Amino acid sequence: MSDLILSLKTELRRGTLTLAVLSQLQSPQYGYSLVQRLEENNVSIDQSTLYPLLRRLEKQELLTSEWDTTENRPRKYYMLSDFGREVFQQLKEEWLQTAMQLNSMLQGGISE
Amino acid sequence: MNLIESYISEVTRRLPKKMREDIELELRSTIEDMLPDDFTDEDVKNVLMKLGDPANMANEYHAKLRYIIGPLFYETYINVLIVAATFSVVINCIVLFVNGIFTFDGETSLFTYIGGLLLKILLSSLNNLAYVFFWVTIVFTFLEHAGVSTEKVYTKRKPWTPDELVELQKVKQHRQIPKCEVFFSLFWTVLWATILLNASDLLGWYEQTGKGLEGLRLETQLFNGDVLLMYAPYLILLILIEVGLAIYKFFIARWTKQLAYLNMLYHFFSVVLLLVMLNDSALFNEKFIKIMTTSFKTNLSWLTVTIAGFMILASILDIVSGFNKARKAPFEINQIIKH
Repeated sequence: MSDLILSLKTELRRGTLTLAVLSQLQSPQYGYSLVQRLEENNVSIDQSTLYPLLRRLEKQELLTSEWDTTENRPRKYYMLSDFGREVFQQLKEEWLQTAMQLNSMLQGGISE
Repeated sequence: MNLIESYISEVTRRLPKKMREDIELELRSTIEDMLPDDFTDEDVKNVLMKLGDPANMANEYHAKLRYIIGPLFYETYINVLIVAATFSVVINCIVLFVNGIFTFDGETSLFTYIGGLLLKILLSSLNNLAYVFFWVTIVFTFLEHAGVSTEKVYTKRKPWTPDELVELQKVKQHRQIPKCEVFFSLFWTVLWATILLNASDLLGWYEQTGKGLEGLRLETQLFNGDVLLMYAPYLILLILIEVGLAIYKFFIARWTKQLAYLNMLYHFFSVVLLLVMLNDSALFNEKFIKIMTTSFKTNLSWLTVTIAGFMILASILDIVSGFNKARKAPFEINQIIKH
């Protein structure tokens, strides 16, 4: 039973994770700074999921990346590409609409 | 420091070579980011615990390669597997059974002989299944990972409409090919092939030398073995065509124009081959013909003509019935089945 709930929850969250990550990459971030930003916003994400996700998004050309070697430790910075910005806008609108519909439906269900 | 390096190598050794270097650098800098300035082994362990099982991490990195056969090919894969497995087992069983019956030597008791034969059939069927599973899986794995797309196939198809259901009912009523028909035709192929291939032991003039069936001895053979051997390539080709046609029938399970044409070609080939063989006087054993003529006191040519006539008539009927069945469906359905 709890396994089922867990897997349903994961499934429910999976799509939103991409949106959350895209939303935080308006300015360049490296892996761990992104984790911290997400955690500040109370979005907890498995780190073993996040880093591979970043690479996939880069491969899909939603993100660009750059190695910064000026500091004592080299860091890979990710940020939205133009295409990524466009996609993010559309996903955001989609999410807001879905959330609104779902909220009104769920609240309607409670009041009945 | 050691723990960090071995964690990284645990991840990267599971990854394709060209990804390794970059991921290694990134992981190292991330781990160092997560650690406080003066860290202890305990801190390292905590950080690595947060990152989780390196195998999991590596899996996430190449999520695309985690399956052998993906959802796009899965259905086709299972279908092909079922058809191939069914056919290999059925053909294998029929061949071994017919062969077993004809090569029964009468020395062992029938009961033990059949038992042995069944065991042989079972074992070689299992063997066949393993082969089929192996090769079909190999081919589909290749298709999956070579990036062959079935999308093209799907987009060629017209969008679905409820009218297709009406057509489907028509197909079921008039044009379906029952599975038993396919298996019967396979049985028939194996039967004549076995008899012809064992012709030197089976076909000919029998003399009663003792009592009952066991007293029958093959006195004179029907064919000249050497000449029959020259026909072997054509006969094998005919066998292949018959088996191929049966598999095709099984797969599409209904008559189509294409199938009707293929059926016609098959009949042409088999009738022509039969006529050539019947006309080849070198093929038949002279002694056998002499015995036949003296025994029945007639010329044998009427027999040849009758056999040829029957075969031609049966072929024509089958060709016509094939086209008839194919015609009962409108053109579009043929298109759909093709894809």
